[in-house]
Amino acid sequence: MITDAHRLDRRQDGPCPHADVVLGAWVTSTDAEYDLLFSVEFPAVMRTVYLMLHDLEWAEDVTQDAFVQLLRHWKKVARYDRPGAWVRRVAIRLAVEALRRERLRSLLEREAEPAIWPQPADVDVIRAIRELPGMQRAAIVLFYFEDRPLAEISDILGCAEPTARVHLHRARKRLADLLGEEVSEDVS
Amino acid sequence: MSLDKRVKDALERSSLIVDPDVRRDLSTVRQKTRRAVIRHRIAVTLVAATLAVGVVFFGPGVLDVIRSQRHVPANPPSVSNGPLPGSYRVDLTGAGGPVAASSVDGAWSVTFNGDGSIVWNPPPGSGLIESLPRDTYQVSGTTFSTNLFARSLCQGAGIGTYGWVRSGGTLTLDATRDDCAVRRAILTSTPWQAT
Repeated sequence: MITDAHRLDRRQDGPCPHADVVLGAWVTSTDAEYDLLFSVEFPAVMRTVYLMLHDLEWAEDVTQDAFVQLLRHWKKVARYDRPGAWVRRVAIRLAVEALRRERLRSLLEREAEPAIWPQPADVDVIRAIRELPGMQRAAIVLFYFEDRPLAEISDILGCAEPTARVHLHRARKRLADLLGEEVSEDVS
Repeated sequence: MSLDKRVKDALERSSLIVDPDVRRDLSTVRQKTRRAVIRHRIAVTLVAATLAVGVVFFGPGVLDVIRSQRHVPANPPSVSNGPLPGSYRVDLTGAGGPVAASSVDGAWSVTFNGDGSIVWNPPPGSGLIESLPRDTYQVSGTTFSTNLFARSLCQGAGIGTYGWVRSGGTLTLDATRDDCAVRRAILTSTPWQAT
C-alpha cells in the first residue's frame, strides 16, 4: 500500500537511525509488534514533541495521544512500510494544535522555566524557540533536531513546501533577532 | 558559533532530559485506548438508542402525517357558475357542418331574458326571421330546456336540453340532449361572449 508514510524517509543521521530498519519490516498487526514499535519510537517521538512544547508532562501526554491513535488504527497502519513515520507525524500535528490552543488561552504567558538541564544547555536559545508560533517551532525542531529536508517538513506539517520554507525562514530570522545573531544564508 | 550550530546544539542537549518510562507509558496508552474505544461505543450506542426511541415515539405520528398527506384528495375545483340570463353573441363565420348546410354561418346574438323568453338575431342574409311569440327556455337545476328555433330551423325536433357554464364574460353551452343538429351546432360549437 502506498501511503504518505512512504515519503518520510528519515535520514540516516537522524536521532534514532536504527528504528526505521526495524519498522521497515513491519507487516503484521499483533500486540507484540505494536509493543516493539512503541518501545523504539515512543522516546524519539516524545523528544521531538518535548522540543516543541518544552514541558515534559505535556509532551508525554501529547505523545501518548498520538500512540493511542496509532493503536486504534493499528490494523491499517501496521500494513504501512513505516508506521513510525505515521505516528511521528500525528504527534507533531497534535503538538502544533496543542500550542495553538494554549496560545489562544494565553497560557503560554506562564513562564515554565526550561526545566532542569542535565547538561549545560543554551537557555537563551530555548527561550527564543518558545517565542515562536507552533508551526515555526515544528519547522525548527524538524530541521535542526531531526535533520529533515524541506520536502519532508512540509509533508509532516501538512503544507506546501514553499509554506514550510516560509515557516523556517521566519523562525530563523526571529531567532536571530532574539539572540542577536546573523542569519548567514537561507535554507535549501 | 553560528546561529544554526547554536540552535542545533541547544536542541540536542535539551532533548537529553527526555527519558520516558516506556513500560509505564505503554500501559497508559493501552488504558487510554480502551477508554477511547469505550467512549466511542457508548456514543454510538447512545445515538442508536436515541434514534430507536425517536422511531418508537415519533415514528407512528410521522407515518400518520405522511399517510394523511398522501391520501387527502385534492380539493375539487370549485366552479362558480354564473346565471344564464343575459345577452351574448358569437361569430360562426366559416363554421362547417349543419351551420354551413343551413346557411346560418355568421354573427349570431341571443338574449336569455329573465322572464324565460329568448330573443335571437341571426346573421344578416340568413333569411331567418324571428317570430312571435318568442322562443323560451326553462332552467332546471344546472340545465335548461329550450324550444329555440322550433318554428324555423328545428321544426319537428322538439326541445333541447343544455348545461351551461358562465365564467366572466363567456358562456359555454353543452348539449345534454337535442335532436336538432343545427341548433346544437349553433349553441355549442363556439363559446358565446356576453355583450
